[in-house]
Amino acid sequence: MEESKEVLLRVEHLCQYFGPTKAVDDVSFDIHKGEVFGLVGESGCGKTTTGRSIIRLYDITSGNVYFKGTRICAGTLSYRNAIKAAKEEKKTCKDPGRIAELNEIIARNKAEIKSANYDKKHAKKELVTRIQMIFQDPIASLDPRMTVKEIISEGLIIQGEKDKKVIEEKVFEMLETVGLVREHASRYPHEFSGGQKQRVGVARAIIMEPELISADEPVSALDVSIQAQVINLLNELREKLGLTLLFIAHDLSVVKYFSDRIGVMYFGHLVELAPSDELFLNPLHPYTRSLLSAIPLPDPEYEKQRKRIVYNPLADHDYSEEQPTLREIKPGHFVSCNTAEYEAYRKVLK
Amino acid sequence: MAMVKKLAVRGLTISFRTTNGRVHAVRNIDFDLMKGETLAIVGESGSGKSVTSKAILGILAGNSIIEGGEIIYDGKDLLKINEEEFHKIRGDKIAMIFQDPMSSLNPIVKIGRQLTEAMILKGKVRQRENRKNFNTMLKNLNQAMIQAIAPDDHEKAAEITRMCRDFDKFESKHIQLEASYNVAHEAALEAKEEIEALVFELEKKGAKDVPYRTGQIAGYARKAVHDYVVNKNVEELRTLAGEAGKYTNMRRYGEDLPELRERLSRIGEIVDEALRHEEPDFMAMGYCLTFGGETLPELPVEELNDYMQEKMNKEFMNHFMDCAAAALRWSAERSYEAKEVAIEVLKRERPAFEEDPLVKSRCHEAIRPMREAVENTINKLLIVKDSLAYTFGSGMTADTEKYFSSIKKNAKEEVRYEREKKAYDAKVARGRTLDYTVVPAAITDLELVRSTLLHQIDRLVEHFEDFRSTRATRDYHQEAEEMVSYLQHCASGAVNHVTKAMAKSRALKLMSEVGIAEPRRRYNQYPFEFSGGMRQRIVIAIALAADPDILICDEPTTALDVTIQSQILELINDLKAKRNLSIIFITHDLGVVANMADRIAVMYAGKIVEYGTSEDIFYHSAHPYTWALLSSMPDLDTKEKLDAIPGTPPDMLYPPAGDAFAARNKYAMQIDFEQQPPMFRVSDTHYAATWLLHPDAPKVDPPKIITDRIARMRAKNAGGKS
Repeated sequence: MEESKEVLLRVEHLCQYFGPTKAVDDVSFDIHKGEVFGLVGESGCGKTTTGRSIIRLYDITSGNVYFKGTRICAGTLSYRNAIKAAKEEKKTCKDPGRIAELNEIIARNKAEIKSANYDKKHAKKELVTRIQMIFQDPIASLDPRMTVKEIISEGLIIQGEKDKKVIEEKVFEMLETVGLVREHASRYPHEFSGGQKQRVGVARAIIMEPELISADEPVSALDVSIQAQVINLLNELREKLGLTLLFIAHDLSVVKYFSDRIGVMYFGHLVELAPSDELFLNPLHPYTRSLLSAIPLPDPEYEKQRKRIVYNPLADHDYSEEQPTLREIKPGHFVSCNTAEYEAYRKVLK
Repeated sequence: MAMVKKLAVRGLTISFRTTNGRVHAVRNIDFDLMKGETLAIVGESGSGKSVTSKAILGILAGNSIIEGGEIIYDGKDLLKINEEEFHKIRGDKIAMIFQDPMSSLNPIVKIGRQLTEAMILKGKVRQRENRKNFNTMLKNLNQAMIQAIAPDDHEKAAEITRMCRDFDKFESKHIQLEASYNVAHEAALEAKEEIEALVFELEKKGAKDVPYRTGQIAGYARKAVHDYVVNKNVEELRTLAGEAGKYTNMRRYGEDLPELRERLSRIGEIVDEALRHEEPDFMAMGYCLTFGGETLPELPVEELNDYMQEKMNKEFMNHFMDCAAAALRWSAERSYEAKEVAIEVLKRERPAFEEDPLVKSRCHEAIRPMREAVENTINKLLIVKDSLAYTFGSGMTADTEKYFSSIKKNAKEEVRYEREKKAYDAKVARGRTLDYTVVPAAITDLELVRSTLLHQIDRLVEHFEDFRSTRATRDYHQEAEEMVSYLQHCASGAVNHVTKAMAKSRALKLMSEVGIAEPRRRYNQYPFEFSGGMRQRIVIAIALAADPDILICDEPTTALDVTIQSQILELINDLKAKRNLSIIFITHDLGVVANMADRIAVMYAGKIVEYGTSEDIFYHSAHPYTWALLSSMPDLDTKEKLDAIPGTPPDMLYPPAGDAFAARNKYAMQIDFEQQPPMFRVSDTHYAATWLLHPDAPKVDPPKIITDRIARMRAKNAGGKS
C-alpha cells in the first residue's frame, strides 16, 4: 500500500564520515509525500547528521539523495574505492578477459564520479530551497540582532525577491499561520518566550513554501506545556500546507504521536524501519526493543514494573560469519539482520 | 515503619530585587522530605522550583531576599547557619546535580582532576574528623562510665580508664587487619568481574584493549594474595598472573588468545573459590593478637571466629559493654531530667516573644535562661546529635537581632514609599500614564520573624516532649552495641587514607558506573571533548563521589535522550536504594517522575498547588494545572489533539491576587481571580490548592484525555498482571 505513494525523498546508501569517524554509514530510506518520517536513536547515533546531510549542510561522503526524482547530493567515495580495488587487481591479474572487465569497471566508475560532481554543482537552487529546516535550540538559531521580520524574510530576499510590499505581506501571513500577530514582526528574538521563538523558527522555514521540512529535535528544548503548543502547530501546518516532515527526535512518545513511519538508528546504521504502530507493536531488532523499554510513561504502577532491556551488540548478534543487511520482514517493515536472524524474525511475526 | 524526616521546609518565601521591583519567586511553600524517599517538584520554567533547590543549598543569587520561613536539616535551619558551617553540608551532605552540565564543570581542568579533587580534599578532612570523633567519644564514654559506676572511687576509676585505653589499642589493630583484608578482597572481586567480562568478549572476538586489561587482571590477582583471601594455590596464581602479565607487551593480538583465555579462566577459578571463604572476625582477632600473644591457633575460619570471640567476650567485651550501658543510662537519665526543666523554662519565657511589638530588653532577658536550660539537656553520648538543642541559642539570638535591626530600617523605607506613592497617585489622578511603578518598601516581614521565633520555641518543646515518651522503652545494651560499632566506624575512617591512586581508581569506577565508555582515556580529557549526555554523567559522578545524604537533581536528564535518561534514572534509583539517599527531583517532565517519585509536589508561580503520592497525582489529580500538564504530553497511545496550555505564566513582579493559574485555566471561577485558594485535603497524603475542591464548587471532571488515559493504563496493568 505504501508503494503506490509518490516518493518525495530517496536516500540511497548515505555515508557521512568525519575523518575516521563514521557518523552515518550506509543508510537508505524513502520519504513519501505527505507523511511524517520519524528518525530516532540515542545521541551520537547520526540522526542529526543524516538530517543535515539531506539539506546539504555537509558534503556527503558516499551515496545519493534524490529529491522529487532529481539527484541533489552525491558522494564519490564508493566509486573511488571501486576504482582503487580494480586498479589493485589489475596489477596482479594476468587474464586478458578479466583486465578488460576491470578497465570497464574503472571507466564506469569514473563516469559516475563525473556525473556525481556535476549534479552536486548544478543541483537546482529552486529545488533545494523546497527543503527547509527547523532547529533544536530556538534561542541559538535566531540572530539576536535581527528583527523577526528580517529573520523570516531573509530566505526570500536571498532568493531574489525585491518587492518590499510582497515580502511584508508574506511575513505577516506566515506570522499569522504560526499563531503570532503582525505586531511581532518588528520585535527582536529576546522579547519572545521559548515557544514563540520556536514559532518564529517555523515561520522562517515555511515562508519558502517547502515541500519537505527537516525538523531536528524541534521540541526537546521546550517546556512540556509549550512542547504541546509547537507539536499542535506542526500538526496543523501539515494538514493545511500538505507538508512532508522528517522528524528527528529522541522523545519516543512524541515521535510515536507525530510520525507515520519511524526509522531507528544505532551507531550510524539504520537498524529498523517500520510504520509507527507496527514498530511499537512488533519491535524486532534488539536495539529497538531496548529503546522502547526505556520510554517513561505517566503511569506509576506500570513504571514500577518496567524493566529496561539492555542492548549489547556483542551478546545479541553473531555476525562473525555474515554481516547484516536491511531486509524486509513484512511489507513495509525492514530490519537489519543476517540470514539466520532473518529466519528467526519471520517466525516471530508469524 | 516510622519515617524519619530528613528535611523540612516551612513557609519559605524568597524574592529577588530587580530594577523593576521585587520578583516574588517563591511564595510561602511547605514540604517535608523523608529519609530514603524521592520527592519530585514539577512545574514550568519560572515556577520557582530551581530557586527552592538553590535555597536549600545556600547558593541563591546575590540579589535574593529570603523573606521568611525555615529549612530544617539535621536540626539546623539552613537559612540561618553561616557560610563556615555550610561548607560541611554543601556537597558532603547535600549534593546537587545541575541542569546545565557545562556550567558546573570547569572548562580548563581535566575531567579526572575535577572528579578526584573533592575526594582527596574530603578524604583528608574526614580522616581528621573521624580521629577527632573517636577520641572525643571515647573520652566522653570514659568519663560517663566513671560518673555512673564509681563517682568517688579513684581506684575503680583508674581501672575504667585503663579499660578504655585497651579498647583503643586493640581497635587500631583490628582496623589494620581489616584494611589489609579489604584490599585483597576487593582486588579478588575486581579480578573476578574483569575476567568474566574479558573472557566473554574474547569468545565473541570483540575484545578491546586486551593488553592493558590483562595487565590489570594480573595486578589484581597478585593483590588478592592474603592470609584470609587467596591462601591456596598461591604459587600457581603467581605464575599464572606472571604469564598473563606478559600479554601487556603484546601489540598485535589474535594468535594466542585461546591460551590467554584458558589462563584467565584458571585465575578466575582460584579467585572464585577464595571468594567463597567466610570472613574472619577481625575485631576479635585484633584483641587476641594484642593481648593473647602473637600466634593464633590453626583452625578453619568458622571455628577460629568462635574461639576468638569467646576469648574476647570473656576477658574484655562483656565487662566493657556493661560499663558502657551503665554510662549510657546515666547520661540519658540526666539529660531527661534536664529536658523536663528546659520544657518548663521554655514555656515560662515564651510570653516574652508573644508581645507585639517585641521589647528588646525583655527578649534578651528571656533568651539567657532558655539558652542555659537547653544547653544542659545535651547528652554527649548520643551518636546522632540532637542538633536542635545545639543550634537553639544562636538561632534565637540571630532572629531577635534581625527583628530589632530591621525595625529601624523599616521606618525610613515606609516614609520613602509613602512619599513616592503619593506623588505617583497624584500624577495618575491628573490623568497621566506613567511608565514606572513605585517599588514597595524593602522590609523584613516583622510578623514573619516573630512567628519564626515562636515557632523555634514550640518546635523545641514539642521535640523534648516527644523524647519523653521514649524514656521507658530504651534498651541501653543495644545502644552500647551501637556505640561500639560507631567507634569502630570512626576508627576505620581514621585509618582510611585516600591517596591519589585510590582516588583515581575510584573515579574510574564511578565513571564506568555512570556509563562512560573507555573511562581511562576519558579521564584525561577536557569537558569540551564530551557530548552533552556524557558531560551530565560526569556531573552526576562528581555529585556522587562525596557520598551525600540528600541529592538534589535539577532537571538532570532534560538534555539527554531516552536510553541515557533511563540509565541515569536507574542509576539514581539504584544509588537511592543502596545508600538510602533522599532525593529532591526537579523536572518539568511528568513522564520521568512516574518512575522516580514517591511523592510529587506540583509548583506554579512560586506556590505548591498540589502535592501527594505519585499515584495520587497521576490517577486522582485534582488541580486544573496538573490536569493541563498531564494532558499536554503525548503517550504512546495518544491519537487526539494535545491540550496545550494557552498563554504564559504570570509576571511575578505583580503576583495575581487569586489563584495564579486562573488566567490560563478553563475551569476558573470568579473566586479564583479574587482569593487565594487554601490547601484542600483530598486524602491523608493528597492536598490541592484549588477552589474546585470547595464543597460549594460545581463538580468538574478532569479532561477526557486524562480519564481516557487512566482507563487505558488501568486496563493494561490489569491485563499485564493476569
